[in-house]
Amino acid sequence: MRTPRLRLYALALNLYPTAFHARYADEMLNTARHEYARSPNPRRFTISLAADTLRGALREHLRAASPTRPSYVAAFALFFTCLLLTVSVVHQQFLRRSADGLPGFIAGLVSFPPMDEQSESARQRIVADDLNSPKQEISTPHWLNADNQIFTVLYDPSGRPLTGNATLHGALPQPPHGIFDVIRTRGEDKVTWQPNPGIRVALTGRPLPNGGFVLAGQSLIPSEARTARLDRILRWMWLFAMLACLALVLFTPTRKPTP
Amino acid sequence: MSTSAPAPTAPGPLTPAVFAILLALADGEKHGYAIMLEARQHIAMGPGTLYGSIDRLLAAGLIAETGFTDDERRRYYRLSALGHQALAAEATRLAQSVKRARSKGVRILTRTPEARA
Repeated sequence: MRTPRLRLYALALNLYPTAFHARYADEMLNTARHEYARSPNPRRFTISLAADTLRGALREHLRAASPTRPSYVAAFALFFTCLLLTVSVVHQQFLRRSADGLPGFIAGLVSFPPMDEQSESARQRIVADDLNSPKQEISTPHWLNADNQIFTVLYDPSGRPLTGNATLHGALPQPPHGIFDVIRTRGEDKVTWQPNPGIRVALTGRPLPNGGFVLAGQSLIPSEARTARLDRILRWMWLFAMLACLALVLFTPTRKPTP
Repeated sequence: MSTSAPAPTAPGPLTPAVFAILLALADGEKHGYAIMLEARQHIAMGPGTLYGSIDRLLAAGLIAETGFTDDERRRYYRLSALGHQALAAEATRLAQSVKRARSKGVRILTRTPEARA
């Protein structure tokens, strides 16, 4: 006959792994029944039986766990996927932000308020050299694929181009007017400008002391090519890892319960 | 060419529970509850510890199952050759420890924990 304590114990035995439960539950219950009948202190017996059950169930679950169990492999696959995605996003963001570096420096140099006479004349000379350098056509593959090739264009307060060292399809580049509103409000704007498919430019704009604007930009194609190269490697790594996980699950023999 | 699996080797030092179970089986086959009653002279263990240890010992080849009774659904277990070897090794190790303890002047208690209780 089973007391409520032993009925509870029979239920608690379900905490053990299924294979272990199937093999030993009857014997364990039988043993507990004999022990209970012999025990002078049922409460103490119950407490020690509960502790033994929790400890034993945890131990058997840990023992049954194997690194090749499908749930572990699935967890690893998920973790690895997230890791590669993180690497890809961080790398892409790093390159994108790096592409803002030189245009930001040039735009800062051109827009800097007048300094002392000597420094100001030096600055104006640099800016003039930059603006008067031969015009580059930014839609050409040569310019688009070049690293660190910066163009600079000055605009009047209404956003109309005045002068610059680059052209887009033969005319000074004219980005959307919204960018000038943002520059006026925030003092700087950094955007990705895509005037045509295949032409992507990291653009930095700043206000000029005379109310106009300066925009400096460089092609994003080289950094995007580097991103694509790394993404291709990451995709292969992911594919290889997923195939390895699948093989691990399919071809690793599972631990059989003791017959 | 032989394709048989390599013979299992005797494990290193045994845990007190495993030693108690192997010792309980040293004089013949027993079922789980009988093992527990005898092992209790060395160490207290509940059904979870007992059957967990039995399962590990079966997997390690130190004990073997000999039969099954229908009356109380009891399985009987006996020591395997490897189990005998492991038990002898552990008993020797313990005897050497006792000898070392004596040589260092450690007083050996004559009363067992049960006698004191």
